[in-house]
Formats: sequence, structure tokens, C-alpha cells
Amino acid sequence: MEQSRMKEVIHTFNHSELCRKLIPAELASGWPCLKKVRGKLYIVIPYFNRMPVKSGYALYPIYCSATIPWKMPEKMLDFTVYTIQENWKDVDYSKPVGFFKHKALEDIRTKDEYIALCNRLYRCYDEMVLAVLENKPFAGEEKMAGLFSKLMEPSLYPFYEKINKKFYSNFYKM
Amino acid sequence: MFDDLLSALEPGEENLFAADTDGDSIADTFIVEHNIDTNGDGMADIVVTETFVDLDHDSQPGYYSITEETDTDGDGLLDHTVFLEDTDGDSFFDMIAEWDVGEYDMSDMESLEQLEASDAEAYSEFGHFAPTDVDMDGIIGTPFESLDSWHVQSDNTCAVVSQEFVLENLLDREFDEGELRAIAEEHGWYDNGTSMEDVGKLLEYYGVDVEQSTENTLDDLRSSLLENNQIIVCLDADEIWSGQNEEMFGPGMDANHTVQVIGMDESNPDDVKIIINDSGVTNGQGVMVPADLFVDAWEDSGCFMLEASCATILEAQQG
Repeated sequence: MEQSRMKEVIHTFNHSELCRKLIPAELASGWPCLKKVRGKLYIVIPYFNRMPVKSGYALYPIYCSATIPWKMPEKMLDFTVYTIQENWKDVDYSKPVGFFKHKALEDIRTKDEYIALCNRLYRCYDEMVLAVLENKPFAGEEKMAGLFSKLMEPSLYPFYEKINKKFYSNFYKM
Repeated sequence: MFDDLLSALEPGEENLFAADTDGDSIADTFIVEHNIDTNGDGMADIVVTETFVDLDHDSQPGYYSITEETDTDGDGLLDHTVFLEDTDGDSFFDMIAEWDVGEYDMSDMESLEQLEASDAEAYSEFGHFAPTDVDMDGIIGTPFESLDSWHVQSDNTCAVVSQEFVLENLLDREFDEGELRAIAEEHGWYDNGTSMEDVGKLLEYYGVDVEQSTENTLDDLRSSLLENNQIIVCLDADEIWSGQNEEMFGPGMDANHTVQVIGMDESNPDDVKIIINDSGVTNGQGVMVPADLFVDAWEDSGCFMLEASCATILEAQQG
């Protein structure tokens, strides 16, 4: 099956000089959100730390995000480090906020199953981007919400919400 | 609760550790460990640890903590912890916490050590380098010289610790992770991690020659090891930690970890292994990762490699 364009865009940025320069190599990229500025489409990629623990990973609050043009993923519009943002000042980065895998993924037993599920969500993102670019209604909203709600790490959700409540809350239905 | 803990201090075996942390030749940090066997089976089922820090030597600790670890179900493992801490020396506890080891409730999670002790599934199916177990003719590099510098990182510091390993190997002296991290923070090379571009800056700080490159291959890795370079790579940790264990996977994509490559085992050409020192997990010393798996994980960083040597230092010493 064809690779998702959204996944490819994130992958391209993660391999860019800008990413090598700015993003701590220890961080993992999380679920993106869309941003439309003066008619142009951008995606915001959040980054967070996680550490291996028994049967999974401890998750830490989102540390930073990069906003990149959809059509030029090796470039960047904005880079935000949340530790120095006023409304993030009470976030404790020294402790994990939760664990992966979360309850909604209980039925996902293997790496391949998880990656397949992620790829389905990335393809929903592709459909949404197409709809946004063509100013058409997004027909796959319900499907995307289902996948998003299953894959979103509940302990990280409050931080995603701080980044873009309108976008993330539209798809996270718990 | 405190009285209960104090009463537990009486019987049993006691160990005392003292250290001078500020270099004034007077011990200022004391750790007293009490091992208590309440049921007479010869095994301590309560361990109480007190830590006193008295930097100004006035016999009034500026910091004091007491930890009680208990084996509640008699299985020989300490599974319940109570922790009390007075951080400002006013004789009142500023923090009291209680948790069960292995219980993933965030309200109880107070210490990273609990997490680090629980990552045993990483590398569970791989061997670890031991000179006596391998055909040394097939070994590229000098992994046996690099094993001793390995330790587990204390924070999000894999790049700092990988550089610490390299520094110790090249300069033949011990370095302290905390001090290196402080230097990196001061120079902007560490803030909740290290960007790939800044991997190697600590080495340059100590006069080590470094060269960063991407799009490398296993042949490049082999050539560099044969030139006696020290090597650090970035990769996707999930892929090597889980190996073929399909049940171990995590969120996020692409490279997220830094490790030291200390050798290659080519004794079986059909099963080449890359030998790494990985500070991210408790069993990360001299891990022998199958080459194909290593390359998959390495590709997620664009096959980023940092090569380090002390040619300039040696030239200066000779000249």
C-alpha cells in the first residue's frame, strides 16, 4: 500500500538539517496537527521524550514542536520550546506523565499491528489535508476520530490540547 | 508514620557509607543502611536507608531523607517503599511518598530508578560481548577496551553519556556524567536532550577531533573502526531494543537515541553483529545487535555517525 504523504512529510523533516540542528535527538515525534496561515497549509509536529520500562514506555510531557510547510517539509515556519512558555511553566518534565501502551491499545499485540493502525491514521490525515486544500468537507472525520481516539496517548493528550485544543479535541473522543 | 520507621531502625545489620562531595577532605554525606529480618528467615525483608548531608559540618544535616523498602508478600523482593525527605534542614519533612514497585500509578511515581530497573525486556534476545565467548580474529575494533566505561544514563542524556564513554576511552581518565551535562547545558549543547548537530561538542571541548557525517554504510563503520576511531551513532531505539520481539513497541517515529559503537563481530559472515554500548537501558553494555536490525534502526537517523580521534592531542603531546 502507498506510503502516507503525512508520514513522508514528517519523515522528511525529521531527516532535515533543521531538525538535526534544533530538535534533541532523544525525542520522538508525536501526532501532528494542521494549521492554515494566510491560505497556506502547515503542520505542527510535537516532540516528547519516552523511556523504556517493563512492557512499554514511560512518557514525558511534550517538550517542543516544529511548524513546517506542508509543501516544503525541509523548511520551518516556527520552532517552539514549551518549557519556556508561560502557560507551560507548571509542567514537571522530571517525571513521566503516563505509560505506553494505554488501555485503548490493549487489543494491539504486535509492532506490525500498531504500525498498521498508525498508517491508517496517517492516511486519514492525508484525506483531511486534501479536503482542506480543496476547501471541501472532510468525509473521513468520523473514521479519523475513531483511530485518533484509539492511538492518542491519554497521558499526553493534555499537552496536545495545550498546543491546539480546537484540532485535537475535534478528533479525541473519550 | 515516622515513628514506625524509627522503631524499625533498631535490630539488624547496618552498613555505613560516607563521602566528601565538596572536596574539602571532610566527609559531608552519610548513608546508613539498616537491613532488618523480621521473620528470621535470614533474608532482610525491610531495608531502611537514611541519608544525611551536612555540608557546613555543624552536625545539623541540611538534607535528610529516610527510605523504607519492605517485602510485603515474602517473595524475597522489596516491593513497597515509603520515602520521607527534609530538603531544607528544618527538621520537618517536605515530602512524604509511598509506592509499590511495579505499580504504574503516576501519583506514586517518584523515582526514575524504578523505571530504569524495569526495562529488562530490551535486548532480551541478544548476546553481550565477552572476549572469551567470541572468535577474536573476527572482531573489528577494540570492544574489550570500551566495556568498562559503560553505565546507565541518569536522565535524557544518551548523547552526553555516549560522549563520556568516548572521552574516557580516548583520554584514559574518568569523566562524570553530571559535570559533562553541566558543561553542555552551560554551552547550550543540552536542553532536555542533545540535537544531532551538537553531538560531539563536548568532545571538541576537551580537544578531541570529531567529524559528523550522514548516509553512512556498514563499510564506513568498519573502515572507521579499523582506523581506531571512536564512534557514536543516532538511531531509532525502539527497533533495536525490541529486536524481533513483536510485542515490544512504542509511540513516535524516526531516530530518538544515541549509542556508542565499540566494534563489529564478523566471525560469522552470514551473521555480522554490531557491538554497542547503550546507556539507555540497564543491560546495554556491549550488546551485539544483528547488523540488518542495526541498519534498519540507523537509517532512521539518515545513518548519522560521529567519528572521534585524538590525533591533534597526540600531535601536540609529541610536538
